[in-house]
Amino acid sequence: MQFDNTISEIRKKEDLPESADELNFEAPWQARAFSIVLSLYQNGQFEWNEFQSRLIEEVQNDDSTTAENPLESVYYEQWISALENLLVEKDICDHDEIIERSNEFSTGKRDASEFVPGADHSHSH
Amino acid sequence: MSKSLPVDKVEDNEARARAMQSLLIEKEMLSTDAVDAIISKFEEDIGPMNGARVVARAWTDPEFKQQLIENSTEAINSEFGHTGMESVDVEVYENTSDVQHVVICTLCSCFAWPLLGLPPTWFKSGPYRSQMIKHPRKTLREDFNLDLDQDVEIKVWDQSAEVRYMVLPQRPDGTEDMDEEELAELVTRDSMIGVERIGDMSINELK
Repeated sequence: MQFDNTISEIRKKEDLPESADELNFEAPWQARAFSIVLSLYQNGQFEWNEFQSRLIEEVQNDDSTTAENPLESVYYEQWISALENLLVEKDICDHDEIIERSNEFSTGKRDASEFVPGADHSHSH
Repeated sequence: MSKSLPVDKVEDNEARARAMQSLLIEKEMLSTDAVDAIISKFEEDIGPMNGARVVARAWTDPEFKQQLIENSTEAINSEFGHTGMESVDVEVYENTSDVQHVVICTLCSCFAWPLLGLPPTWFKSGPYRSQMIKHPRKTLREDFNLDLDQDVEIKVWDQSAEVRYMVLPQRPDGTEDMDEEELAELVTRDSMIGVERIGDMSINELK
């Protein structure tokens, strides 16, 4: 397989903080996607290999390392797609309802205030 | 097989993540508190300093080191509490003067999060996942500036769903007077992945 970047180039591009202890999520959606998966797993909603096999599928389908697709985003996009496939295939969520709910968030019909405790939950239920 | 949503913009990823969180909360499978707790745990408490403490303990306590190598998960849990990832086993491999262990995940970039934090970008990249297993000596030399002698054997460990690996580096010379806390400061994330060999470095290089 041919890659656009060598490991050395990726390591140079990686804006490595002073200490690796500072390494963190680049964007809130990455943290959210990661934590939803770990939380569901810790609650026993699936076996780790059920998620992992879907993640592997996404990684194998899309092994791009192009400049237009920053690597960090690509990885967490694979992660979020794997989560979505898991939810749909285990009949936890319906594909259409995920699209519909995503549209509500992207158009501003819903916003993150519904995740804030004590805030007005006028959209839920 | 469902197809991924036709989105490629960051704001759409945010919308997608929010949509799933919102639906899962409605279905009572998730709570915002639990999601937030994991995020803050990763932001505040989880990182390579956890692994570094384990390494420093092993350097100073031969009995712990023995247990760590024989039964890594149990040794870590009993001395340091939760690894934070129930039912994920950790195995620790000890470097010696003639063996260098290297950790990879060829399939999906799983990582011993509780000990090492989030994986760096290069660890998740296609080139690392494909080249380290095929040409470890060349990859360590060209991409990590680690030129190992021919008589140092390189063992590459590819992680599976149930087991995560961590490398126990050799204790550098000249550290005899240091206590556990000072030693932990010397241990780098990359040395616990196995792409750096701190046992061969001098104190001045490490500080």
